[in-house]
Amino acid sequence: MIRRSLNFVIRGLILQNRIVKLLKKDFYIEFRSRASINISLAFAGITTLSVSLTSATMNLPFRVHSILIWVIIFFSAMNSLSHIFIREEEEGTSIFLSIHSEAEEIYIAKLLFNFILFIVITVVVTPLYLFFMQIWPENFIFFASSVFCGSTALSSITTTLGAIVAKTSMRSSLFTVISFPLTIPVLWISINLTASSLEGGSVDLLNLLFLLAFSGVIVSFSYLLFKFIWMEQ
Amino acid sequence: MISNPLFFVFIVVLIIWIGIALLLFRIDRKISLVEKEVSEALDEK
Amino acid sequence: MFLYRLVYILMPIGIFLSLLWVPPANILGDASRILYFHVPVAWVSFLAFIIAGIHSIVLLIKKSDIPYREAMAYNSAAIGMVFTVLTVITGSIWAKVSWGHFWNWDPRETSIVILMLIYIAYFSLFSALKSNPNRWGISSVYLIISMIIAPFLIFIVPRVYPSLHPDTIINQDKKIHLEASMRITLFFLVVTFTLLYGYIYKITNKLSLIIIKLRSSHDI
Repeated sequence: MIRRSLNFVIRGLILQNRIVKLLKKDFYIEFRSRASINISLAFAGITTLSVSLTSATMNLPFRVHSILIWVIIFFSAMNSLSHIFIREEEEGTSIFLSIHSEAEEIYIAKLLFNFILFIVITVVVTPLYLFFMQIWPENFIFFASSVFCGSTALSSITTTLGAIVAKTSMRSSLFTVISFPLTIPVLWISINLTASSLEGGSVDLLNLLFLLAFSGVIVSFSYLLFKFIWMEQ
Repeated sequence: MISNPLFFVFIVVLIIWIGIALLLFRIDRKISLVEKEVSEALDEK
Repeated sequence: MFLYRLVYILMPIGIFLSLLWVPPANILGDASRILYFHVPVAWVSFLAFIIAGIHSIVLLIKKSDIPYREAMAYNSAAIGMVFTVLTVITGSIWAKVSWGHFWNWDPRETSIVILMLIYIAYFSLFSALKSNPNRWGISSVYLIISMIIAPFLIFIVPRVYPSLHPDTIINQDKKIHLEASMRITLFFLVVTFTLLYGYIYKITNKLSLIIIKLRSSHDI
């Protein structure tokens, strides 16, 4: 019994170690070229700026603000999150990666990378948006948690879809097509949550939990299914 | 019964269904025939 | 196969029951008869989706008979796509009659549109993967993931947001009540349309099996 649990712990540590290594590798590669991260951040910044440039003088209702925030975040995600898998395919390292490490390790490393990248993007986009549009959420903690939970759910679903799309022939256009129907529930609920937080509504714990539960379900199923996407059968 | 407009709707829908059913039946028979022929041809090989 | 062929007899009976036998509903009148076609078609479009998903799960677990199982999932999705389009058409006609607009973005309308988008996405993914030997795995994973998300759409969203739709699954007090004869007709047509789906599904599966056999014999 003790030996078995010890074995389990050791395997867990090895897995963790390898995930950290993969994650480090991804960060090194991405920051060495810096092009993709710069481009995705610039894309997010430019869309925010162009929206605020054309509509800052208007007095928009809070619902429209929330829709604009989520449209900007959604398209920044579409631009940047599939990149991590497409790079492996384009540089021809995907076969090496699938020989070298287990599918589960790859999935968790890529998921963490996308998650961090996406949090960075939202951290850039939302303050810029609030600053340029000169609005301030009534209930700041609720606002921040709605944005956080929404981007968690978005990044967890787009990681799997990015891996799927990297294996196909037409990548960027197909990515929007296949991810749109699956991200709709997330976007819908996040827009409602953000709008109610901007209006100063009370904290809607049920819908926040819905977003977290959604990402939990998606992550656990993707963990099981990832080997069918990435490994050559 | 005859003066009821729904009766005419019923007749029209029924005719449409008969058309679909004939089509389905023909496809069904043809595919069964082809299935038999293909399995015989593959057996001879 | 005989069971499915019953549809030839049951469908005219169902059309007779729904158009001439059942009394018109209280408020909507004769226009409400589209219910007996709209609900079964919508049911089949979800059923086809679920069956495609189940075949994908079986395919991923067993990893045998790959081309045939893949074709089975694909055929079910193809039939489901047709039924989804029919659902949207009948639904929007009914919405025009009872609510005054062809399209209201009611939560249930939204969920059927999203189902249609999922089908379209699945087919475009399938065609984009044509040269990939691993197509069966990837397309199955996509179907399974969208099947996980479908309950979120179909059951949670219409309950979280207020809907104009009469609830056909659970009849609460504020919803339209169905009389016994209506219930019988509706049930009869749901069974008939399920048989129709099964019949078409069997035929397409036979055809796919023939094609697969011929292809494999060419390879040898």
